[in-house]
Amino acid sequence: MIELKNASIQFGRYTALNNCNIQVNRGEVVTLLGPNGAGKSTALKALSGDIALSEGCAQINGTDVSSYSDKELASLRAVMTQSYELMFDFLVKEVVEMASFVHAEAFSKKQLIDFSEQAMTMTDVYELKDKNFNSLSGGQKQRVQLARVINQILPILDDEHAPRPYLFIDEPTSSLDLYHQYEVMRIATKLAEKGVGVIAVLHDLALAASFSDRLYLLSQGNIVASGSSEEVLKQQQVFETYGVRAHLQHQGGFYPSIQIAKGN
Amino acid sequence: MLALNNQALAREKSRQILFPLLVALSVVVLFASATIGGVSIDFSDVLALLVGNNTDNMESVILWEIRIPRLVLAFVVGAGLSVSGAAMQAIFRNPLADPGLIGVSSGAVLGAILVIVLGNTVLSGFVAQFGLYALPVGAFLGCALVCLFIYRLSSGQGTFSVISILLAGIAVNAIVASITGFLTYISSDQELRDMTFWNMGSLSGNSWSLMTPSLIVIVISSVAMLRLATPLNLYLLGESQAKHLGISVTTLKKQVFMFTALAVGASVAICGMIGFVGFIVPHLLRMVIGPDHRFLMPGCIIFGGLLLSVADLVARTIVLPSELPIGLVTSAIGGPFFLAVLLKSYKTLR
Amino acid sequence: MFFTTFARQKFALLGALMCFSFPGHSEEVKPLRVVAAGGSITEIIYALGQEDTLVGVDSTSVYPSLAQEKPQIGYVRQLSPEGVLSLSPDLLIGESDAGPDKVIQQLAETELHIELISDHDNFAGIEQKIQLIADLLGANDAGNALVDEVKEDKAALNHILNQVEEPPTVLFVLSLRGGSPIVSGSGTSAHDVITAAGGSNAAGELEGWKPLSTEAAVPLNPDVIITMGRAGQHNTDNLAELPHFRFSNAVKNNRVYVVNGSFLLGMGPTTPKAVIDLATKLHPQASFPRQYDLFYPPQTGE
Repeated sequence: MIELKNASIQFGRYTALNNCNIQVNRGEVVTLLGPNGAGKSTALKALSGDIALSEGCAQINGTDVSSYSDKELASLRAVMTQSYELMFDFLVKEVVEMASFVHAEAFSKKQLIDFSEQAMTMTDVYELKDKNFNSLSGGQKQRVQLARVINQILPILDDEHAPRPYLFIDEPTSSLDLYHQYEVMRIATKLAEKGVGVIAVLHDLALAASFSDRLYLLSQGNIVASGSSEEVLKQQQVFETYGVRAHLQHQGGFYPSIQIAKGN
Repeated sequence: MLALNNQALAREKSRQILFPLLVALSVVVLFASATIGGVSIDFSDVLALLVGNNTDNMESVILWEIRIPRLVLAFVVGAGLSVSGAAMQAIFRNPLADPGLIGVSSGAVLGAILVIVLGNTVLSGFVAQFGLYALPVGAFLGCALVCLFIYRLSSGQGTFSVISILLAGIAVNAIVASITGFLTYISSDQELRDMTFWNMGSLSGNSWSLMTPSLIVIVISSVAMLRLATPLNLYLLGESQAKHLGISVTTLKKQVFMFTALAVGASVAICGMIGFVGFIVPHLLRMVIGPDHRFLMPGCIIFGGLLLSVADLVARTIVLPSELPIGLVTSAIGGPFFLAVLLKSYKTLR
Repeated sequence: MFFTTFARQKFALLGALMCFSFPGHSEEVKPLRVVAAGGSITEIIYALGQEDTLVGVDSTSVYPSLAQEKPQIGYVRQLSPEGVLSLSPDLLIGESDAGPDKVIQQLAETELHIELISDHDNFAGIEQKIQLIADLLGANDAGNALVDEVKEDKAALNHILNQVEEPPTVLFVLSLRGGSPIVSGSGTSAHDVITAAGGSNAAGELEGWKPLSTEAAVPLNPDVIITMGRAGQHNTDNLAELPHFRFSNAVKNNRVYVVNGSFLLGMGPTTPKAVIDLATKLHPQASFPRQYDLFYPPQTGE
């Protein structure tokens, strides 16, 4: 389990997080929602070990995040960040294979290449593997980076005795087309079935509702609601947080969608 | 870069061809450097002198005491400057970076000019103590001090900021420029000329004992940088991305800074300023074999050594019995090359 | 500089030369190949009539102008080892500042005989310099003749100096750098020459070549100002206009002179004549000894 306990982060006089409690268990898909500046990315970074807390603690498997070395953390969690651009002309497969560095000592070269190819297949970029990364579209680049992140996780899953890793995804769908937006979350669900604990920051309410086991809704550094999508995405709650009247629509055979009310 | 559908194949092929080619060329150039020079020695004699024990005659002395030290120095310095350039371009995540950005050059210039201008007065004790080593030691000390200063400015709160290296470098360069300007102003014509020649670089006149310390430092630093190849690859993904993959980014940056300062400092100390090699070689090589440092860095070592050896061959034979400063030769090649690169990247931006 | 002359090699060379100068020797005489690093060295070699031995000169060897047609080894302080060796020299003769040191050391490790004139590179040492070079080249007769000529010049100089009651103050301006004139303090070749010509160095309190600010210049108030240039050049106007010197005795009395720097400061055989020429400017009332003709400036053939 990873968790934030009474976590606060202050930047000078600006409060980014205020006394937040977040838990993510193995095999769960948890989503952080909220408008811009709510603190969701900040909370994610606190959990992944990228930002220090002003108060409270962030723990992975019972131990404080800051007491792990970078190398240890790399075997416990993988992070897909918002930025995916690369200054240099690496090949797609070279980018994905960079994650193999983490497990270079435990696996043979062939095994590592197998994992890379598996990861590339999962995100639908296998055909692009010999191409120059910088010649791809934004969406394709995002999927390649996701493949890299998955490539960091797959070898850990392969080892039965290793603790199940956590996958952090920070707004992974900005350049993705409709199909791939849902595909990414399907991959996350599949990984969760294998024991990975997924924590995602999403801005699309419908997407969050479709795939999350649990959600946290943040506003201005505070957690204003948590629970299932029905509990969190009530009309009144959504209106207070986003200023928009919205209705979560369920229809048989379809993922839930969001209907936004016209007028005021 | 190339719009080939199979970029991978092109890269694979070029790697397969390039390395054996570079090694073969290096062997040819090394033998050519041993054979060609002001004093004519037949190639067969060169071979004989290399294997034989006859150390008495003049040709043997020229070969072993003048030519071979020089070609070894050219190769090692070229290699060291190039691999440092590759490391710099990685750490700044910018293919236009150059080892001079970290203040190595201005520090070395400061040290050298202090020795040249104050060597007869304030620093006469230092010069008396070190004799022929005074200038290299002074240059190296100057560079070490400036780099240490910039390092200190950039470290803090557990990070090592690359931006602040750049800014600190700019500030330090300005300060050093004013100090060297002042020293230039009070220097005699002779000292001024000595300084000018030092600034143009030269591989000439270095005995084994004079250059061995530099050689050792450059070789050790270059080997250390070779071992940072994979971490540097990961670093190119981005700071946080590299960190998430387990790389201690701050340590990596500090190591690159330190080894580059050592390699470049040791080179400049013994040879004066040789520009452009640290920039051209990794840049050119990357265009052909790709940015993967596991191939790029060894490539830089061979290609850099090769390039500087050829440049030195030109420098010491083209105006015999005189000699061109090698910095002029590298600038003459590097300047237009840099321009061509800029124009090309400008075109692709449009 | 810490170079000592290679005494043993010198004598060996001398002995070898003597062997070869015996008539009837059946072996072919191999002519000496000499490289000169320094203008005065080259000048002396030409004056001794030994220019055929010269196989290479440095960039400061501008007189006689024929010397510039010889193979060029570069700037005297930045010699190239293989460059020098490519001329297959037997002997390298250099002024005291030939270098860099590490190159001289590298050359010394080959069989090349190197002579650096460290001790006699000044006005007083011109005769010894000539003697040394004449010995090295085995041109003793020419050498003695040249030394005698120098001695005669110096005697004439002394004759003039004996007539001087009060030495005028002299300021030597090397050049203008960024608006400030560079003047010769003590320890410079110009100081040496000014003193030899019976003058007193107005900038003697300074050490070495130094830039002079206006405020430092005005109190010096030299009687005579000398500056470097080619014969016939009249750049004295620029100098006289400078606020540094405008109010000096020298400018007021129109005693600003242009001299040929390489003759005056070169410390070669022409230097004593150049010093006498300077002395005549400093002491216009003095007269030459009888039967002395000053042949200066020499025909440069330009």
